This record gives sequence, structure tokens and C-alpha cells, in this order.
Amino acid sequence: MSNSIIIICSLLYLLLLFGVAYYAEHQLKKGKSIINNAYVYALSLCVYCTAWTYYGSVGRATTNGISFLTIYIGPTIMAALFFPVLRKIIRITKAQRINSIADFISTRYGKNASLAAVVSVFCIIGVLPYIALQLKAIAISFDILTKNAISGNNFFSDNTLYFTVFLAVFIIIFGTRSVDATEKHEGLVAAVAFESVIKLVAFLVAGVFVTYGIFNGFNDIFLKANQIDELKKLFTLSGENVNAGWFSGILLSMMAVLFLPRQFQVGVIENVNEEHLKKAVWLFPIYLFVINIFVIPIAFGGKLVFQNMPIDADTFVLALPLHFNKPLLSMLVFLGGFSAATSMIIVETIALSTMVSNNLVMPFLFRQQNFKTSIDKSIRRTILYIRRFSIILILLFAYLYDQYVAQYFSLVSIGLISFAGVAQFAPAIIGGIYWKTASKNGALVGIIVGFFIWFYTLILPSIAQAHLINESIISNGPFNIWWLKPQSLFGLEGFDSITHALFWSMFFNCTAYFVFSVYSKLIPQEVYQAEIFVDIDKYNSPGSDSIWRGTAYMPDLFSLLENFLGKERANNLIQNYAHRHKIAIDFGSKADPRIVSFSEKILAGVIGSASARIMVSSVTKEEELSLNEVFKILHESQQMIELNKELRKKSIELTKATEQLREANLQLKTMDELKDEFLYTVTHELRTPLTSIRSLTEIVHDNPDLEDEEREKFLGAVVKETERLSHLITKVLNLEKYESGKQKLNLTSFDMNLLVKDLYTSYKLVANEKAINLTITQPNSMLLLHADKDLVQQVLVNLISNAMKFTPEQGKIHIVISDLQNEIQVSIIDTGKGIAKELHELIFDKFFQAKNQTIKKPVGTGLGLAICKKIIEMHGGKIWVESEIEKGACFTFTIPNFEPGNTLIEHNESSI
Amino acid sequence: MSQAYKILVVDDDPYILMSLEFLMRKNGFDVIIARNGTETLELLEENVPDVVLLDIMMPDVDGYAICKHIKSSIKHKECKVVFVSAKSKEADIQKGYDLGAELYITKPFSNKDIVNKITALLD
Amino acid sequence: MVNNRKQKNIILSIIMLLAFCYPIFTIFNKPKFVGNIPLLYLYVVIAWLLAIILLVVSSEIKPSKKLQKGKDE
Repeated sequence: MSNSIIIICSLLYLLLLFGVAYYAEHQLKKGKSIINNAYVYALSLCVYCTAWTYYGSVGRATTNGISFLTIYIGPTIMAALFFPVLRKIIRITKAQRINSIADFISTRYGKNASLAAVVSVFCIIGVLPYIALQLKAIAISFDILTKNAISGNNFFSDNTLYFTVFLAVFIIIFGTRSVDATEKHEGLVAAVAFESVIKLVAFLVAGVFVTYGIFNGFNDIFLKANQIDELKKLFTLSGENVNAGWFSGILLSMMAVLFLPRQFQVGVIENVNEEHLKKAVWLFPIYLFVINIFVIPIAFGGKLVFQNMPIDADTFVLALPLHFNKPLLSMLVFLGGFSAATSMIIVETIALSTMVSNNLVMPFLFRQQNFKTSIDKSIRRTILYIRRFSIILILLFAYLYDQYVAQYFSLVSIGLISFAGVAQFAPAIIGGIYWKTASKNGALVGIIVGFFIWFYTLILPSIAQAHLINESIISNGPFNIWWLKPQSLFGLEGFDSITHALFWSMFFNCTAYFVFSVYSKLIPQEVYQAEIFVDIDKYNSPGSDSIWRGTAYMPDLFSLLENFLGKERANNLIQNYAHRHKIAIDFGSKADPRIVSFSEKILAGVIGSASARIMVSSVTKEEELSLNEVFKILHESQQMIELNKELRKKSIELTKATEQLREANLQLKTMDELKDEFLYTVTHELRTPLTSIRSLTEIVHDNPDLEDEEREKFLGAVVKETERLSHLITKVLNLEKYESGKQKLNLTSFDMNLLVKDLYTSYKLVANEKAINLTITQPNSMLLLHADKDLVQQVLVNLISNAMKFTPEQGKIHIVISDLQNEIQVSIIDTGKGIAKELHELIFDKFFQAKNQTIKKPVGTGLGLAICKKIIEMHGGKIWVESEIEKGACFTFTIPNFEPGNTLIEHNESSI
Repeated sequence: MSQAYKILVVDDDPYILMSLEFLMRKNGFDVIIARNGTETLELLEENVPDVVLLDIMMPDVDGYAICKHIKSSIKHKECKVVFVSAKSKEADIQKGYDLGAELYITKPFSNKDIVNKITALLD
Repeated sequence: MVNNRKQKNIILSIIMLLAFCYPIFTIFNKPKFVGNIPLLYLYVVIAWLLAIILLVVSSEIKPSKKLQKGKDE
């Protein structure tokens, strides 16, 4: 493939990256944050997988089998600890406006500037070669793609320079937008998440191609590999102390996944919402699992294909598609590796540049008297330039390292060496968030000792191997002292170099950390920070954190903030804070201690906590606090928070109560409406007979000359209507009585059979008159029922007279009583006009037509069935109707025949 | 009154119908009666009353519908509609007037009052 | 409940560490095959997948949430 095509593709890819980053920032301006998303967060964590993963895993697999997997199993185990550990770190970071891992450690240990500087320097030493490795990977893969197998010509090195410059521009554009380093790098994170997708897809495509394109699946590869001794032995892990090596790999990667500067950057600093952890806990391990599925097949496949060819196993991913003449696939694989490398470079550079500018350059500048006095509004530009300059410097050094130093070292283990380097921060960080006694001295000495051992046991040997110093230092130890041999310190032998280095460095690191912590006296600032870090959930409330005592003047403080943040932003922040905490601000007088603390925190976001400390103390007159005072302040703020919590709880309860009240009110209102409706319907029902009574009596009254016959007719009507009226009133009252539960059942035992029979006999006459065939089916025996006889009779009368009313002449009415063991069932079946199905339940409502807006008027009062239903329900029975239009109706009710003495179901519900 | 006004009285309650029939006849109207909506519509086919006393709640066709029918018919364009109903809600009354009724009398009514109102309406 | 989750997570990480390290690891570090798949590979894949499933369960599925919610807040 020609150089130019590859360069064009790579540049197009980088432009795409620009596009993604630009789009993300553009969306943010519109108020939509792309990175405020659990999936994007999880993908950004996958910056963990660099070119070292992409190319190097295969290489390691060809020599050590699956031992490379420790690098991914470790983070999977760590994912389980995301909630206890990472979330706590995130909370602290947000509360304290921390902007890098060095800032985190220094803030924890009393905002100590030298600690921040030490950590920053070690980060750079530990990680710079790792960045160089990425550049190297780009160069080598480029080389393979162009088939310039002989590396080292000027051509490709120039290309690396171009890419480096391009990346520097990209990082500067999207990485130094704001002077506040705690602000999210929206575009960068979006780009990194995007790259995580690209590298995964590319690697999977390559894996599928090798496994299923070249070979016939996993089985085939394993079967063929099993015939080659060199590969066969990779099916197991072998070697001296293989278990220790495996374990140290897991331990190392567990620490690395949290404490590598780039991981800290994406996992903690760029975290928008800690809730995103919930998804990241399992998405991140899934990603790691998936990207590793095809490593072994590619490794074995490469070995099987290139059996005797001198091809570096690190390049199998790319070499295989090339060998089988798949230019497009090769290009995709190249871009995948390219994305793995660039994403790592981007994030790592950002993280390091923040540390360089905030922890190395600025503290140095701020200590210069003439610089400090000359700080004005241009300081923001200065800071940004320092950051940009740091970015260029870091990338330049990485480039130079790649070009001039890397050739002396084996690059294979650089990743693991970096891991071991950042692992030195683990005691200080983990101890710092769980152990209050931990001191600045402990952390500082531990980290320095750990790093020294790390350097001595891992870096020195590689320098010696490169013949830069006398090799005898490795074989015989310095000055021929055998127990100082770097690779078998104190005579510890039989472990691989990483395990060996990890053991001794951590041993001395932890020991120093503990011993110096226990035996050093804490200064108040340390005590305060320790308390805040360890008990972050107790203190995690802005505004309660004022440890500051002294005299500060608002104009000084404000102009300081103004210089670093700009007038508008500084003003907004201060006003908001003051408003939230009800602090009166007088811009002409002394500042409230809380404002001073808050200002320091804001500044810490820009220039790091150590520098912020220096700056704030330069404009204020601070009083030394005693330990007792610190404890008092802590105690007070804790009480304050508890009080706040209590208040919040109260207010939640209050809201709840209000809500309940509102609901109850609503219910009452509906009930009122129903009541109104009922009353309206009742009065309406009363009006009809009243109307005729009034009108007819007026007629009789006004017309004394009426004929007797006519007068009788009118008066007769009046009597009937009066009866109807009083009947209606009785029924309404009855219903009210039943519904309110005032009606007591007058329970007696009686023969239901007899009661129905009596009714039947009395209605038989009326039926005969109307030419209706009234029949009855009943058992011969007595049906003893324990119930209110009058009420049951009322139900029967109501149902039978209803049937009579609706059954035309020549119709039939059939009454059936049956004994259903536990209950007695009575059905009244007529051949009347029937009831539409949708009304079957409604007819038992009082004035059921009321709900249908009183258009179609029922015959009768509209209360009879409602009363029946109430009575039956009071007896614990059921009533229903089965009917179809024009096919008659069958009303049925059941009453449980409880033994006397058994209590009936109380029916005291009062609805209306 | 040169010629007796023709009045159609509609109500499903037989006693109210009875009293209204008597009352209107007594006051010189030419009275026809209907006991439900269907009957009313049938009678309106053959007769052209000057005024209709209309109940609203009836089991088959309701008074509003009948009013609508009258008001939309050219044949009955001179016919006046008087609702006589137990529905006393403001909304119901308003609906009656909206449909073009000339008068809305709520039950129970005073005989004198209803006769006066109807006579006034026709003069 | 939150503390409960923390504890569960810590226990889970310990179980994972045990499963992937000495001595359990040595049980499977043998030149044996299941089908054509090396035993060690199979074990690592299955144990890893199991670990991921446990992670999904522990972080996404809350035990009897509604009832306890009020108390925990």
C-alpha cells in the first residue's frame, strides 16, 4: 500500500476525530451533553486498552500463553470495587475540586505542594515511555502497512512527527478550552469514547477474519496448535513461580486501572454523574472480555501461518490480513491500532499537562515574589499558555524518547513497568481515603521510597541492558554487593522482574507509609483534610467547610478570583455561593471565612490546591489554627450537616403530608360532587310528583265549578302522586340509612321457602289480572335463613313487582329458589323487554341514569335496585342480572345461610 | 283571539299531562297531547302547532332533540317552543335556549304563571 | 441498602480474586482439553463471564426496592 494512501486515511481519521469532538462541544453549547451518559462514560474508561493491548497482547500470548489476561482480569475484579473505592474518590474529587491524581494526593495530605510536585514528576517518569510506546506502535504499524520492513528510515520518523504535531494541535484545541481544569473536556471524552468503539470493531473484525476466514473456528486453531510443541506448551501457564507472576499481574492492573493518570482523568475528573458507575461496573469488563476473545486465535494463527518467517508476533494482527492480501481489512486494522494509540496519547497528555502546569510550573511561579505581585487579568492567558506549552513539551519528549531513547530498550514491558510505577500511589490514595492517621510524611516517604525501588529494580536493569551503564551492576550488584543486585534484591530470586519489583517497592512503600504516618505529628490542615476525605459522606455539603481563620478583605479576594476566572464568572460564583449560604457580601469590607474557603476551592480547580493555598494566603492574613479548633470546626460542620439532613427529612415529610391533604381534599370534592349529583337527582325525582300535585290542586282550587267526575279524577291523581312522593322519600331515607351503616339488621331465623311462597300467592292474583303466567320452582324442604326478614322481603317485592311492571300481557314470570349448600339463591325470570348488556351493572346504581345525563328516564324511582343491592350486600350476598334486549331478564340474588350466632359481615362502609 | 292557537303538550308523566291539557284547554287553546318523543314526532308530521310545551326527560326521544327538529323544519318555522322540565340546572336551561327555545319553565310551576307566560309569548 | 451493596461488591471482588488466583487456579492449569478447547482457557472464559454476570446482577438489580426505599433515604 502506498504511503500517501495511508497518510491520507490516517489524516481523514484524525479529521473525523476532530468532527466528533467538535460535534460534542457544539451539542454542549446547545445544552446537550454527550458525555453525560453512562455508555459514553464506560467507553471512555476503555482508553485503558492502548496500542499495547491492541498489538502487544498477541505478542505476549505467543510467548506466555494467557498470562497477558491478568491485565484485563484485574480491572474486572476492580470493577466490583468501583462502588466502595472509585465512587468515594469521585465524590471527594468533586467536593474538593481536584483536577489530577497528583492534586488528589496533595489535597489529601494538607494541600502540600512538594507532594504534588513529587507525584507529578513520578507520573511523568512512569508514563512518558508509555506514550512513546504508542508513537512507536503507530510508526511500526505504518511501516508494516507500507512494507518498509526495515525500520529506521527518515521517512516514517517524519510521519510520526506529523502525527505528533497533529495530536498536539488536537489536544490543545479541545483540551485547553477553559482555564478551570475541573471542567469537563466534552470533545476529548467524546472522541476517546468514539475511538474505543473503532478499536474494538477493528480488532474483532481482524479476529473473525483469522478465526473463521483463515481457519475453521476456534476448534480448528486449537487442534492445529496442539500439534506444534512450541504452541502446545502455551495451553497452560508454566515456569517458575507462575502463580506469583499471575497474581502480581492481577494486582498491578487492579491498581493501574484506577491510578494511571489517564484512567484517573476519564474515570474521576471527567465523570459527570456518579450514577454512571452503575453501568460502567459491568460494561467496562464486558468490553475487556470481548476485545480479548480473539487474541489467542490470532496469536496461534499467526504462529501457524508464519511458521518460519521472521515476523514479530506483536504485528500479527496487521501482518495476517496483509499476508492474505486484504488491503481494506489491513487498513481497518491499522486504523484500529491508530485509534488505540491516539486515544491513549490524548488522555494521558491532558492529564500530565494539568499536573505539569498546576503542580510544577505554577507553584514555582507563585513563589516568585515579583511574579506574584504582577498577577493581573492576563494570568488566565498565562495559565492556558503554560498548559499548551506543557502539552507540546510532553509530546515532544515522548517523541524524542521514541526516536532516540527507545531503541536502547525493549519496549515489550514498558506497559507493565508503567503499571508498577503508578502502583506506588496506591498506598497513599487507598490509605488516604480510609485511614485518618495517614500523614503527609508517610505518603511522601512511601511514594519516594517506592519509586526509588521501582527505578532501581526495573529501570536500572534496562538501562544496563542497553549498555548505557556497566552491566556488572546487574550480575554482581553495585560495588559487588550481592544483596543489592537490582533483579534479586536482598537475595530474593525466582520471580519475574515485575513481580520482584512490585513486591519490594510495595513492601518498602507501605512500610514507610505506615511507619511515618504513625510517628509523625499532623498539622491542623492535614487533620482537617483527612477528616474530610475519609468521611466524605458526612461532610459532603458545600458551605460547611470553613477551616479558615483570619482577616481577609473582599476586594483583595475578589480581584484574585477575577484574575483567574474573569470578572463575570468570579462574580457569579461568589454571588451564588453567598446566596445559597445566606452570607451577606459587602464588596468593600472583610470577607466571611466561608467565602475565603470557597474562593480557595474555586482557585484549586484552576491551579491545583497547593497553588491555590499559596495564592489565597498571599492576599489574606491567616491565623494559625490549633488542633482543638480544627476538631471543633469539624464537629460543628458535622452537626450542621446533620441538622440540614434532619431539616430536609422534615420538609420531605411536610411535602408528603401536604400531598396527602391535597388528595384527601380532592376525594372530598369528588364525594361532594357525587353528593350534589345525588341531591340533584333526588330533588329532580321529587319534582315530578310535586309538579302534578301542585298543578292539579291548583286546578281543583281555582275551578270550583268542576264536574264531580273530573274533580275526582284530579284528586285521585293527587293522592296517587302524594303516595309516590312519600314512597320515594322513604326509599331515599332507607338508602341513606343502609349506606351510612345506621341500619341495623334485625336478624331472625325464618323459612325462606315459605316467605317466597307467600309472596308468590299474593302476586298470583295481580298477575292473573294482567294475564301474566306467574310460576314458581322451589324445594320441598324448609330453607332456614338467618337474616332480616323484612329487608329480604323488601328485595323480593321489589324484584317481583319490577318483573310485573316490565312484562307485557301474556308474558311469563318464573321464580326459582335453590339451596346451594352455603347459600340460598333466588332468581326471578321474566319475559319483559330486557336490559342492554352495558347497563347490567349501572342499573344497581342509585338513579343510574344520573351519570348518563338524565336523558332516558327509567320507569320507577330509580332507587329500588340500589336498595336491593345494599340489602343483599349487608347480608354478605350478591345480586346480579342476566339479560339481553327483547329476551327478558333474570335477576338473581344469593344470601349466605349462616348458622345463627355466626356473625354476619359487618357492612358499615359509608359512601354517600 | 280570532282563532284558537294550536298547542302541543308533551310529557311522559300522565298526571302532569293531564293537568297541562286541562289548563290549556281551559284557556282557549286548541290542545293536542303526546306521551312520549315518538308520538310527538308523529303528531308534528300532521299538525302545525303554534306552540309546543316540551318535557325534556322522556324514555325514547328527549325534548332537546325534538326542539332541534322543530327549529330546523321549515314547516314549523313559526312554531314556538316552551320547555317545561324538572331539570333546573343553569346549564340545562342554557342548552334549551341555545337550541332556540322561546321559553324555559321549571317544574313545579304555578298554573297562573305558566298560562300568563305562554299567552304573553304568543301575543 | 447502599452499604449492603458495598459489602456485596467487596465480597464479590474477593470471590473473583480467589477464583482467579492460587490455589484454585492451579486446579485448571493442566494440559487437559474439553473438546478441543484447553481446560485452562475454558475455565478463564467461564469464570470471567460468570464474574461479569455477577457484576451486572449486583449493580443493576436491587433487592426488594420499594419497601426499603423510605427507610434508606
